[in-house]
Amino acid sequence: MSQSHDKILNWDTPNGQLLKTFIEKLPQDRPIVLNVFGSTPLQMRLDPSFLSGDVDMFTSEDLSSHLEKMKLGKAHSKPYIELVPSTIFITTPAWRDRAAKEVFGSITVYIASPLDVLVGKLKRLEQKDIEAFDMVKAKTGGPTEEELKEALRLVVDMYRPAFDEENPGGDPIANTRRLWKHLYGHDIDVRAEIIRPAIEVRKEAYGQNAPDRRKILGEIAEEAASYGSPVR
Amino acid sequence: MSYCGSVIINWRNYSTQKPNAYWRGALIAARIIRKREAGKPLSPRDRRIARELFEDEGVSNRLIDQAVACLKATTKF
Repeated sequence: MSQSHDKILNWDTPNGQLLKTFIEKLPQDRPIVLNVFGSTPLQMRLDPSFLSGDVDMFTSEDLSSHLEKMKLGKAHSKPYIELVPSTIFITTPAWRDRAAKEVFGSITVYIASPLDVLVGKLKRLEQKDIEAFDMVKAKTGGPTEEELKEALRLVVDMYRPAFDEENPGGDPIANTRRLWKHLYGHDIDVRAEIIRPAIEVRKEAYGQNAPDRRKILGEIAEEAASYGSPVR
Repeated sequence: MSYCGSVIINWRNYSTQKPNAYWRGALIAARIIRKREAGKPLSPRDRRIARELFEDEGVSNRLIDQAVACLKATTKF
């Protein structure tokens, strides 16, 4: 799935126009970053007819008072701007490398890549989310199985059990299997294909696969004991 | 100088500061392990220090492994 051809943004889509209006009314006296995800990137990058009721974003500062003044929030506008915590976007820290970036004076806007948007939808995977996968596949030919596996390995923590305090909001393992059957026509062993390889890479990076150096140190220490050398 | 040793660079003001005690312990452990791997005889002092470091949980396997790699490295920055 090419990450470059779809970086051209269509600002004439409904959500694109709303976003542009929002940006134009924001203060220009300081740097502000808008991070747009959800369905809006799919509409602006791939298919203008992929409509969505809101423009999901998290921002570098609290813009809710500006949104209220502009009357572009849920109560006033259709579609509307939705400011959400950054933790809502299930993604990898590398998502901005794949995002389309536009600068409007002191305002910088990142529009997430289709692949990152799709990955973020997997935990929920409602019918509209499956349609998003279908649309991206029809428009780009991707993601291929390997691309999607790799992307999911980067967000492997999504597969951890939910906290008691949270609404689980869907079973990501079951959703992945369901999606695989839908997109690729067969099942997937999520643990073998996604979770274990991702954990293995992480263990390697954490140094957990390192040779047991402490064991060697212990052996040397044992020798010290057997030699009866003084230990202070 | 920032080469794994006793002094590291503080890039903010280029002043120097002592490295973390556990990292220093790991470097000593790595030197002892390398000495053993090279087939050189270990002194009673080496063995005593090895024991002290082994008993220090802060001198973790990960740190010792990094220290061994650091001592083996040929490029110094």
